[in-house]
Amino acid sequence: MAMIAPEARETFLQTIEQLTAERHAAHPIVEALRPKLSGIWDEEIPQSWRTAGFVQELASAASDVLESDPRESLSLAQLALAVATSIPTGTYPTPVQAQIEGTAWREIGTAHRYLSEYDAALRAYDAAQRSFGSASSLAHEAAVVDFARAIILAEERHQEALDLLTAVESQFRSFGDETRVVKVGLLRGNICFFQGRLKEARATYEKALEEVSLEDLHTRAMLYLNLGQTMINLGDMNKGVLMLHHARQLLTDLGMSVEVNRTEWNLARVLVANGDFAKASSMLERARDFFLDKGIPEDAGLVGLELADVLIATGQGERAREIIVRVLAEFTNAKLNSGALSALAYLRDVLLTTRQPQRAVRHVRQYLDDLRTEPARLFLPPPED
Amino acid sequence: MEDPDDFGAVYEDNYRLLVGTAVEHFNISEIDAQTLAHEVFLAYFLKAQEVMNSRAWLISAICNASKYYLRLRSRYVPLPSAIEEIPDPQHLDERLPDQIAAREAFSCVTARCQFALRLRYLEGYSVPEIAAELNTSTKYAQKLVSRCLRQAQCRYMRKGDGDDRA
Repeated sequence: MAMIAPEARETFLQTIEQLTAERHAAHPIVEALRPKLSGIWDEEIPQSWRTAGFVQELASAASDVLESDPRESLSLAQLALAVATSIPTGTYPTPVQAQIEGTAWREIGTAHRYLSEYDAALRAYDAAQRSFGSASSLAHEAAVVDFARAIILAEERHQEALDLLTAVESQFRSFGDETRVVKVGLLRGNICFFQGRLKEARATYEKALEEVSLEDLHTRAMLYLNLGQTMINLGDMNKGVLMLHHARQLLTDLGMSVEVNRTEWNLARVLVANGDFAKASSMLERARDFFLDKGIPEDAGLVGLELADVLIATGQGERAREIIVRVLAEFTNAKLNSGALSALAYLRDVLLTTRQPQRAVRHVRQYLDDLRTEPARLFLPPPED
Repeated sequence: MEDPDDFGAVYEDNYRLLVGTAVEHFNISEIDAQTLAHEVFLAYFLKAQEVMNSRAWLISAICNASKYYLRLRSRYVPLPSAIEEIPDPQHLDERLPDQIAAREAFSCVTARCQFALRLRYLEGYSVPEIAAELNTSTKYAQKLVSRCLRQAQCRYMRKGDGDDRA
């Protein structure tokens, strides 16, 4: 039977006490600095902030605001990393420094992912892996980062994502992390969806819904959302809409405003399909304004195209063109994919002359949707034009 | 979720189990097993709020930590006696002071500069990658890195002078 060496135990408990005290001290400071975050960047970091507890609080604040404001989340996580960098070497045992830096990087990666900045997200996740990989005790953290990488890879590099999921699923099971095991199922369903295997996607989501814990409202909400979308694509409109309503309710309760707006967007699509243009139009406008306000131009642009489609259907071609011009400017400012810019520029010009404006909008919308899974795809106008 | 306030109880309940696992299943010495167990508890402490099942988490963590330790140990191969005395310019002992000095120099500058310098010199980001991270132009990112590097050099030298006087 192992005996606890008194001095090792003492040192360890001192570290725990220190970390606890630092976190308590940091909490009110982090709360107070959030409204004036932009001003912090051009100051030297105060000595009293240079603690692991302070980094943890910043990373935790970044995680808290991720859903409602990914840009603020990114800024908080970046500040967490800057503070972690300023901690003098040797202040903490190696695993603590590795864990706080890795956590800051992971939050940076996740905020980028929410902002659809996938290359930056993957770079941040690589850096997180370097940090977590430098200590022996951070295997679970490393698996969490691999899972986050798989979320990005799932959109276009399906096999790589599936291979990663197989590895992390067994890690999560060994750590008793059933919540993330269900999330792995959710992501597998997404990959089936992206590959067009809708029936398989539906079955995977339904199985995951049976397994998700009652307390894990976030995963449950995402399963409802994705299952609803899949059912609608399979033509099962009534059940699909019901699922989307369940998702919207849960997401609203959770304060996940980005996902609430994505759900509204999906519901608006159903309204468009049913010809209820007036209601769809106001829902799409709200969602577009929200995405613009939160600095998510890609989603704002895609909603803008749906809105243009509705406006053309209701004989408001000029307003539709105005929206396309604005989306093009937003995509240009955000330095989004050059193919997307070509497609939008084409649409802006063709709307002045074409007799089939709706067809042109849908062609470009489909192209922009495809770009998400195939970013190198070239834009070609529809054949008859 | 586990209550992080119960950390003391989790520690007392599981410490011997973790050390015993490392010793008996992985043939790790008692002293090293204790160090590994404490590292695992530190990792657990920093994320206790996320852990659903503390015992499963801790056992899996000590098994992974033990394997990591053994993998690391197996990479240490004694040098042939003929080259034992030849200094290795890439040896960690020589690189480490540079890394420590770099971090110390970075700690003298603003938060923005800390971040930019870390990306450039510790993580190996290219200037366009830094621009993407900071949501700015490549030109501005290049200027920022140069300005921050000058700031770090200047302030670090001043700090060094101050330390010498002290």
